[in-house]
Amino acid sequence: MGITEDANRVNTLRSYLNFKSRIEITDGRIFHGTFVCVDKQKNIILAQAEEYRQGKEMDDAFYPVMTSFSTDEKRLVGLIMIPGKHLVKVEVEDLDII
Amino acid sequence: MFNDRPIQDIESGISHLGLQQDSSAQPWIPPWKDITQFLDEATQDMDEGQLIHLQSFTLFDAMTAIEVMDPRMDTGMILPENERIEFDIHQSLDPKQALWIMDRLLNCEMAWLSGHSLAQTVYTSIYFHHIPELLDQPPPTPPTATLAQTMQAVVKAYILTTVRCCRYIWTEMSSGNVYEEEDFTTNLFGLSLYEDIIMDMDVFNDLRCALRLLTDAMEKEANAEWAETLTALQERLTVREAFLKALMYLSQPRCSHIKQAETALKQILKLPLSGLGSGLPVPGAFDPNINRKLTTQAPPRPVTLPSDMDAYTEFIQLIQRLDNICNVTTYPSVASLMNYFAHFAGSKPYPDALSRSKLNSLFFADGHVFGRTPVHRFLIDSIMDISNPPPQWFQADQVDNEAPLMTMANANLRQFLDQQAALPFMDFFKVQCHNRARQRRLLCKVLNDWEMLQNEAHDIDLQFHDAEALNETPLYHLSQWVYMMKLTIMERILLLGFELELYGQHEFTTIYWYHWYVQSVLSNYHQHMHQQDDKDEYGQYNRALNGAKRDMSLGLFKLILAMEKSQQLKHQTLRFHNAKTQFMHRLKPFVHMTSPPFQPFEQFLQDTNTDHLTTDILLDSAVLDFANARDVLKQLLKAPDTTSRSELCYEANRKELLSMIRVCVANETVVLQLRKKEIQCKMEFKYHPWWATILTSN
Repeated sequence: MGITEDANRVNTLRSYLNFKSRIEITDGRIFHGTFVCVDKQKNIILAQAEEYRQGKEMDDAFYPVMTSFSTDEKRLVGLIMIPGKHLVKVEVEDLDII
Repeated sequence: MFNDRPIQDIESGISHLGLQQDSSAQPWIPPWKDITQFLDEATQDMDEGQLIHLQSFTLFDAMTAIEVMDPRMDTGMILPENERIEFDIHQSLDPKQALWIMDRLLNCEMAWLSGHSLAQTVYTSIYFHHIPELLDQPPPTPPTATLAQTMQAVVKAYILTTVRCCRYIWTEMSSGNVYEEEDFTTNLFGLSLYEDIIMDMDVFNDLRCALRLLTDAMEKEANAEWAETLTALQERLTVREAFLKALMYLSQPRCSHIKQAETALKQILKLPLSGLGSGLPVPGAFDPNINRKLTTQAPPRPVTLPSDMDAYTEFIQLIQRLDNICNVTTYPSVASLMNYFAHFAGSKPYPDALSRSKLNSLFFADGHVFGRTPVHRFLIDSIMDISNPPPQWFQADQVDNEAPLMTMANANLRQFLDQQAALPFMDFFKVQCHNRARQRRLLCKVLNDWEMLQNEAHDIDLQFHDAEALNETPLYHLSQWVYMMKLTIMERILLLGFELELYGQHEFTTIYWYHWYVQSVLSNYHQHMHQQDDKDEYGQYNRALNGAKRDMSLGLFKLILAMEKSQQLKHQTLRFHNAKTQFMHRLKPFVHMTSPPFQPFEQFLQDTNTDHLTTDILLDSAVLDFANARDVLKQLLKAPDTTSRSELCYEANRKELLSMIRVCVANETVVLQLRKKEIQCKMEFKYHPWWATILTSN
């Protein structure tokens, strides 16, 4: 039971490869990118990543579906590696709903 | 919304802070699933060192990823000292603040010219990212303008002029005369130089207007404190205007406006700037981290801006060099120009990339030297300087049916000049416009071209000899010229190695020995070939100079040998050293040459064998060599600039001769102390970068 469960978890994680991912880090920045690699220390590599940083004006409503990042700064950062120790929240696109 | 100028808008969009995403074009994004907890659990199940990755994703790809939250790589990190302050470009400034912005901008410009990227230097100024708004700023009307409005107009004029200057500079540096990344960064990283919205005429109008407003303000302003600052602002605007004019005139093709450029440059030199460093900083006007807004994710390089004083000194040196360059466009002879280039190439501090590129562009373009002299004419002048062939050799236009051999020889000579010799000769000058290290590398490459030229020159000399049907031995005028050029290049390759610190101390004897060989070949060749023409003062001067250089190298060769023999000069112990391999490697450019024949390692061993000599004999002989050289050099110092062909570089030439004399004297006198066997010595390039001075070390 234990080993198959472990194998399933790793496999599920493997199934998330190539999905779009949204990661929030300790200084408040949010990265959108394609999830390509992860290791045991939770160091994550994202491809074609974009960085969102909150501008001076704060947005009141923060809708999870429609990203209201219009007041924030967005820029393309490309291939990045986020060290596991800086992760706050990791999200991946949920295609089960389709 | 069809955009028919996509590239332009992207550029301007990037130049504006913050790329806004069009909300109507929002793609449908699926909902997000929080897997933070799951990730924790799943990674615990992984093995140490196990990676979950796509099949196509390799370790190499992983290496190129930028690590977030690493201050060296992550350009978006918010560091505590980088709190971004919003800067309003329309804010009113007082005179001292305007002064600070101008001086800071000059520091940035000099940093850019020394090789840093535009984004991290000049474009750290927020003004440069709002040029269209700046252009729209209404000009104040002179009689009623307040001080604040005047300052606005002054800063606007200065900024716009600087943008135009940057445009001219960038165009010059992109013309391929300097090495990308080594000398200068031409990559704009998406920034715009606004060449289509700022016109030179408008900029000059703005400058005139701003200067007039300043004069009005100076009359009205009773405050003494402002008076000095306003004068300083006026000086800076005038200098900036002259700089733009100079750049404009220098970039005209075929050197058409050199005179006007010279006038503008001299104007700058006559107007020293006052009040450097007395400005008041304006917080937020410059953002050193602005490069993180750009398209490329190249990690920022550390940039230190020069101080106000340093930046101004560099600026004046640049202007001085450009002024000198304008002056040499009317050169008295090709030999004079060659001397100028040699001194330019080695002048300390080394010339900046802009001057070097400018000299290169002005020198040769469109088949003409300095816009006037066609290449073949330039070559003929050079050959006349050196070997003085009969003028009828160069008459390629007249076809004389009575003398078919002569006609054919003339035609071949013309072809030789136009097609074969033109490029290598031009290259010799252009090489000297590169940075010092590149000069040596490029000279090694071009040496082969001269080898081939020598064979062809030899043929043509024989053709003329047959055509003239004189029974004397051929005079080889053309070969002389080629051979002299080749030996000059060889000498330069050998001696530049000292300046560039390429040789280990144990190799000095090899180099001085080979240099002595090259100079001996030259002296013998002259004696053999040249009709000793007493009227040829330049030839005599050259021969004497070469003799002195030969003696200096020989003297140093003997001196170092003596010191090595008596163990008074110790080198580092070399472990993986094979003398012959190093010898062949060091002299690689010369190994395959037919003339002068390569001196093999065995010859070197023979010449450095001091078993039959005592140290004292060597020292005595070296002293004689230095004494001879010194006497000759002292005579050469007295020669007028027309004889030495140093009209364009008189002071520099004198300085070099003096430093060579100092080397001779120093080496002569140190020998007295070296006769005591317990004194240790060392070598230093104290007076001249090419000839070492032996010093006692205690």
